[in-house]
Amino acid sequence: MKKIIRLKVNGEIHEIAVDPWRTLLEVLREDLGFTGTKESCDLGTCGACTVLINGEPMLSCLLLACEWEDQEILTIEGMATGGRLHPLQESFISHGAFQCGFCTPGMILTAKALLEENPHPSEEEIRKAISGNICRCTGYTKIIDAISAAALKK
Amino acid sequence: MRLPKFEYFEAKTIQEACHTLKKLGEKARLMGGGTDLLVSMKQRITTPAVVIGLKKIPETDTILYDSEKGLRVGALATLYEIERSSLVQRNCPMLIQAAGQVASPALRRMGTIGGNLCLDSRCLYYNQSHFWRKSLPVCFKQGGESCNAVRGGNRCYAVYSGDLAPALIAMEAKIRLSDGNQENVIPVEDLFSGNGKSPLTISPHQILTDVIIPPAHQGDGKFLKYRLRESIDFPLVNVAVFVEKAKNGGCESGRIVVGGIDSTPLRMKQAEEILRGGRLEEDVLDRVTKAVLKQVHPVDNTGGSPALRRRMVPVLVREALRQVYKN
Repeated sequence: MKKIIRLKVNGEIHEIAVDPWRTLLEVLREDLGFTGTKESCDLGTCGACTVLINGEPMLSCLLLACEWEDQEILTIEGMATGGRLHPLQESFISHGAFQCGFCTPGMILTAKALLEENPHPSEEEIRKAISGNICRCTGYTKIIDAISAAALKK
Repeated sequence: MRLPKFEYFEAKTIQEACHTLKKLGEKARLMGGGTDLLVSMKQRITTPAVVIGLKKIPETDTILYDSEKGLRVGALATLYEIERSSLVQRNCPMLIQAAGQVASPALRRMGTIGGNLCLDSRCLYYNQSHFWRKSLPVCFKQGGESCNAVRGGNRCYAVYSGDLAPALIAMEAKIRLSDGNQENVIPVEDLFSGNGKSPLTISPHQILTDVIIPPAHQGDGKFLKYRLRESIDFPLVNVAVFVEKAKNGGCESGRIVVGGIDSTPLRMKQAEEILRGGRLEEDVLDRVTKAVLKQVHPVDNTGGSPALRRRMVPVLVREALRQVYKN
């Protein structure tokens, strides 16, 4: 049975009717159009669907949308403010920290949560934080460089 | 992969959850973090008509410490909350070692201690999509009469892959179970049946509500995990040792538990006997690891080869014991 819920995504409240079996990932992408959140393994292994809930990175493919009413959900679309990219996004661009870009939203959101908690992480701390986000193109060196550089600018 | 259709029931109290569980029987499943259950549902391994959500039950995620009773961790505490808790850090560091090595950082923010303990057993030939499984005979775990991992096998060999259970058993932790009316407390060790098909002894009407870890006093422990990648993966082998040290620097008593090999975490009782009363010298370690090796017989049903998994057990036990004694 459908239930009407209020999902707070990127600061904006969306009132929608959802079936209980729909994941947060499906609702974000298909009902609300936040297609920056990517679907890849869909089994909690790859990190492409990472969103921040109350500032914590979580995998939206393994969350039921109906369980997250009124929580602060942040997707990649909410990172830029006032028409300006977030410093992490700028840093990913200037370091060329992506190739196909599919892992990038998850990487950037995971990095954002890391830097909020630990503004000057070591390389090892960065590697550990993004260890659940899989990149299959370039490897991780430039991604780590981009996160380190964004941390230095903070 | 889409989830199968189901109704969602949000439980407000443990009693309510138990009552619903009793009413619906096998048609209902409990869900904490959902990181194990929802994957199984996507793969159509289980298709409950009703999912009972436990997240909204108040005070089920609290972590408390009492110098006499020890540490009490609510079943709904996430692995990340445990990892970050100063109470756990001070009083039970081995639990942090184990919780901090489960899956990946995001999954640890979702998965709970109760869910990790109640993890279903796993097999390469079972934890696959419905389409993949269709090409093989129906195995014991699916209610059939054969095993796809061991030719001619007469039981289910699915592996218990939880990381917290070995650590908790080594620390002689207990769990509290509730059926809505009555509560009972049992050792974590008794949670496991040894049967791959249904690895837990918990009755269908019960809910695991708390984990209780006794105060360590003179003891010290170490948890080590070996897996294909250093993140995300289930263990190929995990090892937990906990040693109560004697005044002369030797070992008064010790417990060694090995996971990721069998359908239950394995207590290495023979090796524990060798440890008892002795000092930790190379010849004792040799005898301990020999005894350990006799007790582990993995089959070819997880990521690494059985030979590699078996060979890694004494390596990890030796290393864990050395690290405990270095402190």
